[in-house]
Amino acid sequence: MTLSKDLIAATAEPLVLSILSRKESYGYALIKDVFALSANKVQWTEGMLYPVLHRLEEQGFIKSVWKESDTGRRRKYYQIEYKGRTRLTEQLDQWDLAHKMILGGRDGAHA
Amino acid sequence: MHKDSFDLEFSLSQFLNKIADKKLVSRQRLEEIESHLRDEIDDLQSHHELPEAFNIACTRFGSSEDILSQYETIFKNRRLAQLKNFLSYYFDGRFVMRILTGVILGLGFIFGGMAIEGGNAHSVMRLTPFLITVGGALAGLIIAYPTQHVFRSFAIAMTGKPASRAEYIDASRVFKSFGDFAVLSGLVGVIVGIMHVTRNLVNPEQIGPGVYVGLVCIFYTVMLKLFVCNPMHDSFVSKAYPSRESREVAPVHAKS
Repeated sequence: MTLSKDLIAATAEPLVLSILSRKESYGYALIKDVFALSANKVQWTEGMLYPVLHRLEEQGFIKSVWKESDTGRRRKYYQIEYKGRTRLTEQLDQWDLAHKMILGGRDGAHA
Repeated sequence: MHKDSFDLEFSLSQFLNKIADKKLVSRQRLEEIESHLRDEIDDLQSHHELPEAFNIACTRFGSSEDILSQYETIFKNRRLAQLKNFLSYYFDGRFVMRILTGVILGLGFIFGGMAIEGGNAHSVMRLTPFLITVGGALAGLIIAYPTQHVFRSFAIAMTGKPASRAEYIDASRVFKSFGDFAVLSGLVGVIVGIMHVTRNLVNPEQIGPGVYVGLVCIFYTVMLKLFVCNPMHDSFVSKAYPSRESREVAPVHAKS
């Protein structure tokens, strides 16, 4: 099982924010993190990730810094901003609600 | 050896050059793509030969056309967003800009209309009516409000600097009164003109100029109220009591 195209797109932003809320990271590592988080089921493509990153940066949810890695290679690290944390909380609430609604619908529970 | 015939630096720069050819991708983003590819190639090399690793990394990244089309949409959206930001800044952020635009447009239409009717701008450029109207209105303001108050309101209007809600409310009142006083002092101008005429009824040559000064007074009054007082009053009111939408839009140009 993997995620549908729509869900991959919908989860991209909250996933990036949630990973960055724990530690700063760069594009390639983010893709690997997502792969691991999904138990090797979801493989993001670069063509999808970078537009998301750049959009989030332009909206001020994250910022980027060029840093030199241990191997001496320059990498663009992304860090979450305060505004991004607020955004993440909002999105977590939304996903939580969506999740509850689906389960509630099946089990007949009232929210 | 097989490995020697493959030049990573050369292949990589070829791949990147294809993307760089179009001017859509900034140098920084290109550098980001490069560091990404190098990371991926390093990882892949644990299972693959270098040329193979390079090919897999490039395929995974997507063809250069794919990347370009991705960046093209971002680029277009960014241009659009920049334009939108600029427009909203221009029209919401700076009173003085808005006033200038409005006044120039308004004067352009009015004097344009006068020119078509065969008049000329010189016919309303009179100092006396201007002094009576604007001077009278300013004097009224000085009597009605603390001087500091008046200065502050005009300062907010000229610089467009953000102010507190109370200040916006005060400024809106000042400009409301300014307009009202301008109407009254314009009326004084008309009365003075007609008084002048009635005293000189025996002298028909004086009738024309006397009435004329009165009319020009009314002209200045209406101009002042139309282009300065009412718009300033309205925009201060909307600043003091923002509508729901404008409150949501506001943070756009509140960038740190």
